Amino acid sequence: MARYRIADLIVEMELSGRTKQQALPYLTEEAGQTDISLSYDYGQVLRKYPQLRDLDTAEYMTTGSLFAAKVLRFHGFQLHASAVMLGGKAYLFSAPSGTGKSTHTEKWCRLFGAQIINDDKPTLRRTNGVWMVYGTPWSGKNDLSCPVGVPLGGIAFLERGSVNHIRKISPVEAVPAILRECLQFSNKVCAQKQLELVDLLLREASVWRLTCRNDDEAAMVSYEAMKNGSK
Amino acid sequence: MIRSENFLLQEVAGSQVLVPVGAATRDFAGIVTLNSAGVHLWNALEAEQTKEALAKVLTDRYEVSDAQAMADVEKFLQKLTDVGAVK
Repeated sequence: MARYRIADLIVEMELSGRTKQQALPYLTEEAGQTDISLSYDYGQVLRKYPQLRDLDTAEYMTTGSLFAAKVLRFHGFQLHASAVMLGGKAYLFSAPSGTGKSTHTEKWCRLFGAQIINDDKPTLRRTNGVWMVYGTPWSGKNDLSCPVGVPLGGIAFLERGSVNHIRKISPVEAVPAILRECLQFSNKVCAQKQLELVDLLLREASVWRLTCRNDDEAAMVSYEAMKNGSK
Repeated sequence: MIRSENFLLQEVAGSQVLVPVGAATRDFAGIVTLNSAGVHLWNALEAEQTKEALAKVLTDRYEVSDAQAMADVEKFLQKLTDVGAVK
């Protein structure tokens, strides 16, 4: 079993395939207590869910799901979003698949020198009252992720439109949009804990609704607003 | 009708949301937001209820006609039955 530091937690995992490659930047020599231990028969998962097609995918999906469930206990959860860091803060762009999250964050990288923290499901974790955004080995098909933890600057829910416009939204307005991009837990205790964390996050973070066209101005509009906006 | 044990009602940032858990996650991947009338009906559905009894839950609390209450109840039940929260 190898030890990894993910989301500021010591995670023990036995990996072999693509996940092992993606997890290399997170390897740690640190001794001390293990926070999360993931050990599973990925072959058995594949036999049960043949639609996963290969052992690599079974391992990736299973470890990702197990981590997502276990990190709840440490006040962390996954949001389907593209997360970038700039000026010491993390900015998340969340939307259903295909809306243009990665397209938007690519502009932040190209225009402002931002870096991707995680392009698929960053982990948000609240420690000592501060929301931190972490890269993880589970970073989607392009494996864009960084083994960093950055304080949260803001979250924007993105939708396509004919104009570039951003506005701050209240916690209650953000509820359907954020829950749509959270994992669904079959386990009731996990589902409850995630909802508690989402409740806290919406009350404490800067949350925006961003309408955008697929042009560079969209990034300038979001950047101008979000870089200053804190609650 | 009665509510499913596989749905959890929880407050999130001032909104009352109904979330599937357990077996219900196989059929419904979303959430339902309830207003305060909906919350009263959901609470009542912890026990077996008729549509008439549910309409009375509304007329007891709100200034609505019997006809309006029944229409609201039917709309509520349709939505919740569609997602598997009520059977």
